[in-house]
Order: sequence, then C-alpha cells, then structure tokens
Amino acid sequence: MSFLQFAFNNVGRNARAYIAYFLSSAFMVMIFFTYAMFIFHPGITGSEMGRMTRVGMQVAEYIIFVFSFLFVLYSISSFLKARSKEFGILTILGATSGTINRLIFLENMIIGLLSVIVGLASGMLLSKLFLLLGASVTGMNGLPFYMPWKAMIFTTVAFLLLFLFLSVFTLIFIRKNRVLELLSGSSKPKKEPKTSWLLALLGVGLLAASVMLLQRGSKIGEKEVMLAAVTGVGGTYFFYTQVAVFLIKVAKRSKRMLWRGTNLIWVSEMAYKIKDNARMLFMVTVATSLACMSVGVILSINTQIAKLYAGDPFAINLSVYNESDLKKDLGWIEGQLNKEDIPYETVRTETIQSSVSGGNWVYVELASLTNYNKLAEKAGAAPLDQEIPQDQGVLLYSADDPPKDLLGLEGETVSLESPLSHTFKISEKRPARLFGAGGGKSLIVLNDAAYDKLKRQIPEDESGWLSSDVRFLIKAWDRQGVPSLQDPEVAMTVRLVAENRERLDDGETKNYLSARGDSYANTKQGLSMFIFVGVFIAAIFSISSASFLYFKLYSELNQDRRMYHSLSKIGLADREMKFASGLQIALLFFVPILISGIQTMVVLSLLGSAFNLGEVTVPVLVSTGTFLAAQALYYAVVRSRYMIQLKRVMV
Amino acid sequence: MDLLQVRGLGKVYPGKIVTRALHDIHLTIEQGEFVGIMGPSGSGKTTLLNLVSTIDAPSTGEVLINGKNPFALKRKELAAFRRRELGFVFQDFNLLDTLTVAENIVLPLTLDRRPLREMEKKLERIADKLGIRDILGKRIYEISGGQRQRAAIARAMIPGPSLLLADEPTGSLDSNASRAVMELLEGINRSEGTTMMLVSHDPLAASYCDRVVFIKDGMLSSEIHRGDSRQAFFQKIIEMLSFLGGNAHELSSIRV
Repeated sequence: MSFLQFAFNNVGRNARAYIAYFLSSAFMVMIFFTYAMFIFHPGITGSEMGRMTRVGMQVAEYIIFVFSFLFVLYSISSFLKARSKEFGILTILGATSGTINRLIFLENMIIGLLSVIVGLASGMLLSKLFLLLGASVTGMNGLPFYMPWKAMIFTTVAFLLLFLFLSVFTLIFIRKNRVLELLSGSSKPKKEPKTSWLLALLGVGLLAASVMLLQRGSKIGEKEVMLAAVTGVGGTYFFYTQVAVFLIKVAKRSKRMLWRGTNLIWVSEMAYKIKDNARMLFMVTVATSLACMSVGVILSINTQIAKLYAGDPFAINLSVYNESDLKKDLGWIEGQLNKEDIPYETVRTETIQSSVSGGNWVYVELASLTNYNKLAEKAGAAPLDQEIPQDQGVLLYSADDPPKDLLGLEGETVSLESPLSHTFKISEKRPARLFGAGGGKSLIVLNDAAYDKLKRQIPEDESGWLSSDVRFLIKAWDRQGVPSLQDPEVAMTVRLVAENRERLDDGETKNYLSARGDSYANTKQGLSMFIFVGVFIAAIFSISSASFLYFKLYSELNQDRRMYHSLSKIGLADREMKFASGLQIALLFFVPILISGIQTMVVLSLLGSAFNLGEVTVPVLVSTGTFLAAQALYYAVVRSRYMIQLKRVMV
Repeated sequence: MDLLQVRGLGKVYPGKIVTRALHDIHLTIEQGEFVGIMGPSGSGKTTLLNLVSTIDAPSTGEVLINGKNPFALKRKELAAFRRRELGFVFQDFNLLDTLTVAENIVLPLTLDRRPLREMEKKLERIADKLGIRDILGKRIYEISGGQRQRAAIARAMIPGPSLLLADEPTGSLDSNASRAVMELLEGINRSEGTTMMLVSHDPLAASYCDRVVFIKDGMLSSEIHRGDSRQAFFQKIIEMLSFLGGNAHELSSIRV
C-alpha cells in the first residue's frame, strides 16, 4: 500500500466522518459557482440595471468566500480534533510529524478536489434554475443558459487556493500536540465552564448600550449606527459565553428542578455544550440576524411601496406650476390616453402649504372642505359630512403612518406661519384616506370661507405656498394589490413620465407629471436587485449555519454514543434518550433564531422611523418565521439522522 | 429462595463465521449470594453477564430474575426494570463527566422521578456507608480511580436493586484500591443482603465471593465454594484457573 493509497483509503473507508465535511464544502462551491455564473453572464454585463446587479452580486461573492473560508477552517479543525487519537496511534507506530502532515494535506486536497468537482456539477444543474429565477426577479427577460468557462475557472482556482491554504494552515494545529494528548484525544475530561460576573455585566451593558444608541431614532447618524452594531455584536458574544452559561448555572441551583427526570443529564450537558459552542452559536446568530434584518428591510420597503400605490386612487398627477401651459399639457395627455382607448376623468385640487405653531413649527397642508369632498367623491370615498366653523379645522391623517408631532395638537389652538395669519382650533382628528395629498400623511381641512381668506393672503410673488394639481382617475387601471412590471398601466405611465421630462427639458412646459405606476415600478426595480442579493445571501447564511451545527453535532457523536450506551445499561429508556438529546439539539438550532428574531425586532423597530420603514412587526415576523421554518426543516432532518445513530447504541 | 435462574441459556452470534459464545448454561443464584464468574479470555463470561443484565438477548433458554423473565417485557418496561431491579458496576466506571459525584449517584432515582427528599435521604445514607461523603460535590475528574468506583457502586446501590452485576470492577484499579472496593462489595453483600454477580479475571477479586463458577469455551466447567479461609479459596481459584487456561499451569507450580 503506497502512501497515496493509504490517504485515499482513509477517506474512502471513513466515509461518515468525512461526509459532512465534504458535503458542506461541495455546497459552498456550488453556491459560489452559481453566483459566479450570474456575474459573468454575457446577457447581464450590458444594461445599466445589469451593472448594478453585478456590483451587488460581487459583494455577495466576497461574503460567501469569507464565509466558506471560516466554515472550512472550522470544519477542518473540529474534524482533526475528532481524529487526534488516530494521529496518536500513527505517531506511536513511528510516523514522523512530516508523514502525518503529508497525510492530512493529501486528505484535504482529495476532499477539496472532489468537492470542487461535485460542486461544479451540481452548480451547473442549479444555475439553470437560478438564471430563470434571477431573470424573473430582476425583471429582465430571457437569460439563456451558457457554457460558463470563465466562472468554472474562477471557482476552481478560488477554491483550490482556499483548500491549499487551509491544508497548510491546519498543519499548525497538529504540530504542537504531544503524543499523549493526541492519544487521550477527546476523552480528556472536560473542565467546568467558568463565568465572571464582570464579563457577564459587560455583556448586558453592551447590549443595553446598543439599544440606547439605536433609540435616538431618526436623529441617529452613521457613526452611531456603526457603534451600535459593534456593541450589539460584542454583547451577543458575551451573551453566549457568559450570560447563557450563567443562566444555566442559576438553573442548576434548584435541586427540585434539576434532580428530575432527564433534566439532570441535559442541563449539565448543556452548560458544557453552550460554552463549547458559544463561539459558533454567536457566529450563527450574527449571520442569521443580518439575514433576518435584510429580509425584514426588504419586506417592509416592499409593503411600503405597495401601500403607497394602493393608497392613491389617481393614476396620474399633474402638478400645475404654470396655468398657461396647462391646456397644452392636458391635450397632450388626452391624446396619449385616447390612442390606447383609455377613458379617464380629471379633478382639480388645491392645497396651501404652511406651518403651524405647536412648540416647534410643524409642516401642514390645508385644504378647503369643498375641495376635499370633491376629491373624495371622485375617488369613491365617503366625504367629510360636517360643518366646520370658521375658527376650527379638522385634522385628517393616515392610520398607517400617523404624524406623531401633529396628533398631540388636537384640541389646541394654533396659528399659521407668516405671511399667513389665521388662528384656529384643531377641533378633532380622524383617520381618513388622503389620496396622496399632504405627502400622504396629514391634511387639515378648513371651511371654504376661511380657506379663501388664507388664499387671498398669499402674495403674488410667493405662489409656491399654493400647490395645485390635476388628478386623473382611470377606472380601467383599478385593481386589488399591485401591478406587475409588464402591466399596461406601468408601461404607459413610465412612458408618459419620461416624455414629460423631455418636454420639461425642452422648455415646452413647466408642469410636472408624476404617476403612481411609474414610481412603483422605479422603486420596485431598484429594490429587486437588493431583494435578489439579500435573499440569496440570507439563504446561504441559513443553510451554512445549519451545516455548521450538523458538523458540530457529528464531531460529538462518538462521545454521545458512549454516554448513552452506558446510560442505557443503567436503565435509560429510549424515550428519555430522545427527549434529552433532542432537546439539546433543538436548543442549539433554535436559540440563535430566537435571539436573532429579537435582535431584528429591536433594531428594525428602533431604526424604522429613520429609514421610513413604516410598520415593521409583520415584516420581521415573516422573515424570522421563514428562517424558523427553514431551521425547523434542518432540525427535523439532523435530529432524525442523529437519533438513528444513537438508537443503535441503546441496549 | 432463588433470585436468579438461568436455564439452558445459549447465545449464537450470526455472521459469516457463526460464533457460539454460550451453550446450554444452567446457573442458579440464591437470594443474598455473592457469585463470581471466571474463565479465560473468550470463554463467554462477559456474554453471560450481558444476557443476565438484559442488555443482550439469548438465542436459546431463559433468564429469570426474581421469577420474572425480563425478555418478555417491552423496551420501555425493560429500562424501568433495569433501573429498579438491577445495579451495574463497570470496569471503566461509566460515570458522567458533566455531573458531580452526588448527581451521578442520584441519576437512577431522578430518571425514576422520585421525590427530592427521598433522593437526598438515600444519597446521605449510601454516602455514609461507602465513606464518600467528602467528595460528593466534586467532579469525576477530580477524584481517584478507587473513589470513582465507590461512586459507581453507590449509584448501582441507591435504588436498592435485587441483583448487583459487576463487570471487572477492579480492572482499572491498583491493588490497594482493588482490595478496598472488593471489601466494600463484600460488606454490602453481608449487611444489605444484596445478591451479587461478579465477572472478573482477577483471582484476588474473585476470592471475596461465596462461590466461583468457571466457564470455558462457552460452557460451565466447574465451581468451587469458599470455605472459612479466603486465603485457601484464593489458592484453589488459582489452581483451577491454571487447570482451565492452557499454559497457565506452568505458572501454577511457581506460585504454589
């Protein structure tokens, strides 16, 4: 048997020990390759949109590479630790450290090479699917499958270098261990985990500091966000290494709880495992939190833009700045709509923009009762059916996004900023539909006489106080939900907005045209790149964190097998074994998800206002829930496989 | 009264080469008796212990403990049976590193969900008896081999089993610790009246038994009873071993 054969046989005959390592490496290669294929795709390199996507994807590619590096490094070190006894035996048999180094090096390279091959092959299959998906998500049609030579070479070189580097790097692990230590290997008795009050308090303090920083809400700056991230990550680290072990120690104090059923076994096991795994749990938590947050942000933005679209019953809006151009503009729009046989109605609206005194000056928009009711009637909504006295105003606001600084003014008497002079009481506030007026947030309705008085107060040269629009109601485009990017409304309005922009540039008009379909499509398209990259990174983090855990469990399998074997001899029932070990696995799988769910919730709700995310509870629950579902699936698979192994040693 | 009855017990391990580990074993152990099983390596003594301790199923014959056949029980009931009726002492102790000595000892009771007060009372009693009170709060890696085996014996004894099974309990211990552990087992056997079955290579350990049964090639070959003198019993065991075990008789002339 030659040395190379020995190395090959070692890999081939010890399949179970290597399989987790191999599969996760191959998985990493597959994802990396699929990404690379997309980046190098000839159909993408062209357009502006494609360039943006590519930059995002490249960043993702770096992140995946760093993650694979850490992952493979971690896998190798725990894998070698599990095999230290084998190396001890080889040393006793007279193998020099050079021989063992060569063996490890060869094995790593064999596995590396195999995983590159398998990863490329499965990546080819996946990429067909991925290209289809990518095309539909980014709104680009017909990305053909191609022979990705460039991506193949790129992936192969990157990963061979990675395995080469890591193979050399791991030799350092082995060198310093003495033969005796190698032989006793992982059966060395474990030490009681240590905690320090000081570090535990520091952990709590860091988390609190992070929350306090984020609590500054919309006043938060870039520096504070970075600082909050650093303290949050640091706090999470201490949470696992100190606070969690400390909590379990406290739990162990009560004999009544501890000395009951299988609690004794799993609680004390857990105290050790949580320390052993603290670093890994920490990494998984941070990765999952980042993924949850990005998905949460994406979902909230998605909801926001859909709401914005759905909240506006008027498809097209022409802001009037110059009355003399208006006729020409209306004629042009009519021509365009008639060409496609689209019937429409218009309504003219007008509001006054000002500020009211309420401690600080607060921006408001004012409308007359008649004007508001005209708008409401056209939009098919209930009109404001009441008399408003001369010195009162009714505050209407959007229930989805209430203006906090205005709501407190109910019942107060306020006056307007000069040159306007009018003092009135905000007699009541009520949630209502605003049809895009008042920035979609709030509107103060006055009676017609009061409004006209105000309008007359506006000086000729400051007509900017007055805002006037022509709104187009197009019944044919009414729908539930949001349009697709290929929808006639989107196509038509995108064209109208673009042409109006040209007309503005050419000096043909001074009136500004906007449309809900156009803004929706624009935001959606900008977002889609973000979604594409974000969701894929999230998926990768989710799956690789699961394989981290899987690998960790399998490196501990032999120890667990020994323990449950002897426990079963003294009368541990199958059900109790399943409960005790299943619970431990469950905690490892679900604690990070729970913690990152909480982190995501805290961070997004604190930062929500700064980034105009609106209501974040549902998006956070959805994104965390999705990760939870994925994790539950991995848990079910890993648990059943682990149980089969343990069941074999139960007598 | 017979506590353990083994009737026509046989065990065959199937495979490419069929191994007949035990053949037609008949053995009866009375209530309160301390019986040693000896034999050369590969004679089948560990197989016999595994069958009696219900962790392996016989191919033929039956085992009755307290008149009950444990192999007729369901898996779940079997676990409970082992927990309550059988006590185990192993060569490598099989104590859990993650637990303290006290926690290791009460483990069978916690699995049975006994009340806390009962557990504490029993723990105190057994710890006093075995002289391990001082080390109850320690971890397994902090105590010596002899102390570990004491802790393991305490764990085996705490549920009050009808039968204590010891598999090479002195195998990992030095001679002083071995003697102390055997004296302890003998003492428990006398004072508590616990029936014990010991499998051992060590003639010194076996000399603490009331009776030693010898197995060779999977069959009972002979048995000797202890008289008044342990020393004489020890000599007889050595002679029997050298008679049974191939080359060993060359050594016997030197020893005697």
